[in-house]
Amino acid sequence: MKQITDFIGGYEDQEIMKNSETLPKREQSNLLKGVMSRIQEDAPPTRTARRWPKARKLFAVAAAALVITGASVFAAERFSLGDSFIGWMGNSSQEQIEALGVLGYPLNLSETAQGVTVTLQGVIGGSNTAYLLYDVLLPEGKEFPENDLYLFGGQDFMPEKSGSYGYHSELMSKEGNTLHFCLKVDSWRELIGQQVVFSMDTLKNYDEDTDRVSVIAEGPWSFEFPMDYSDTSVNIPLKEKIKPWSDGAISIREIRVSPISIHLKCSRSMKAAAGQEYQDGRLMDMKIRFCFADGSYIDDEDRLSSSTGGEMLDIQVNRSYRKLIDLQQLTEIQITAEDNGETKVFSIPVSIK
Amino acid sequence: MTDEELAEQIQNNPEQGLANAIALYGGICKAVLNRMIGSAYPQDIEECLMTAFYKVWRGIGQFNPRRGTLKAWIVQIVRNQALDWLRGRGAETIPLEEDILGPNLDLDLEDETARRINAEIVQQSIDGLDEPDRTIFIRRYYYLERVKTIADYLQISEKAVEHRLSRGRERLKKQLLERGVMLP
Repeated sequence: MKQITDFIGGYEDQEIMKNSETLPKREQSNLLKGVMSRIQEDAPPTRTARRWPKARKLFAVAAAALVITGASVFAAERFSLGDSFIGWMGNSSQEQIEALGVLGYPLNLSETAQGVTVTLQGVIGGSNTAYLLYDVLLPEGKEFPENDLYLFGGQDFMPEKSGSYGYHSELMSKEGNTLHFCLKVDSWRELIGQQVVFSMDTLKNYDEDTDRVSVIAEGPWSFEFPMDYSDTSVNIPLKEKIKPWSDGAISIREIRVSPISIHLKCSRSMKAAAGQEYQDGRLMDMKIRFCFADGSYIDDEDRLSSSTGGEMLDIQVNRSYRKLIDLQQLTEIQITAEDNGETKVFSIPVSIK
Repeated sequence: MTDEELAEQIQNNPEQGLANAIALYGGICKAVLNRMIGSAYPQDIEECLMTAFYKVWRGIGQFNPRRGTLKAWIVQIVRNQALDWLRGRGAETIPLEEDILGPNLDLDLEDETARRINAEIVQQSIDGLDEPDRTIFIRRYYYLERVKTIADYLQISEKAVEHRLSRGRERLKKQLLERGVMLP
């Protein structure tokens, strides 16, 4: 016997749905902190703790063997990141990008399904953040829709080791029948050296005018490859641990910076870990600025993503950027934290030879 | 940003995705909780909001844009959270004799197609009620407001509210029977 109160749950009260009132910013921020704090106590829904069962691992290896058999593998002496990436990384000069590209790891793995070819160009990054550059090529004579709203069905990036991973594809550019994408990956564990599977089922397009989603390419496409890129990140020596907040709940013990990212290793006190005192929210609110010799800087406005992850006493922060961080010119990293209404700025001098 | 894109963002980048979802729908969610729980319990409302958005993150894989909007899906989670809160406090919701549609009636809510059709019928039936019947029905069954509260709000007698609720139930039952969703 069903009750009205049960099946009325799906009813959409248009009166309240029209309500466009937003919560005050402060309330939004506190709510987000609370939710993220709970999420930290749990594992992310699909992107985490992937300890592969043996059978699955064997399947993955078998699948990879099939993929590589059907894929075109080209030997590349040099990994050129191309114009798309240069355009996408707004502030970067050709030379800077080229320098970064040399350190990238060429993949040149292609797979074709239903006439649509996905090519992994290569991967670049630091210890815990990587950009995987890939193209989607339609058959000759076919073109992608005019609008650039693409969705991915079943896109998955699975490193072999368990841990928290976040990833997201961004369209860098479109040239005729080719789309150039960048998959940004943040990881709590070191990515370098891990074997990963990158797969995707469908590529879809969303038409805002008609509010319709259409499938424009059907896969699946699947690749397995090692993250054997050179680590572009460098350790920034700290004279002492940074304690941004006076309660001593969190201390930053290690900083690594790459041309695209920063990675902070933090320790959390037992008391804070036991009490879950919004440690993640504070870490997320923290502002980071990179200052360069010529007076310019990169800060949160240029951020592509921010994430935290870790275990009870070990919290890590990843941030990636859409501007190239020129490590040779980097002179200072500023970390700004709010502590009981007081703004504290920590300056870390940098000199990378 | 489309619903699918936001759902994907919540899954892939929870911090940013939830920040966007809270910015977009936090106000509506709080309004629903205020109605159901009452503004006298601000801390409980805050707690319900946190739990609801946590559940949004947990269950985002189940969101299906073909079944409805992300906003409606989130509001449904919030309403369920409020229901849990009310039941947890042993608060009066709706007496069973008033809540059931009638004896020997059942709905197959497990089947996906049936659920979608039911949802449409419920939506159409309720939206088809004249005012203030619709408001009364929604306030009573969706927001679980007391009959007295509704009567005070509309400045009519409690008897009049009960009469109109009864009329709404009959109409809903008739439509479900006519469209073959419910078994006589």
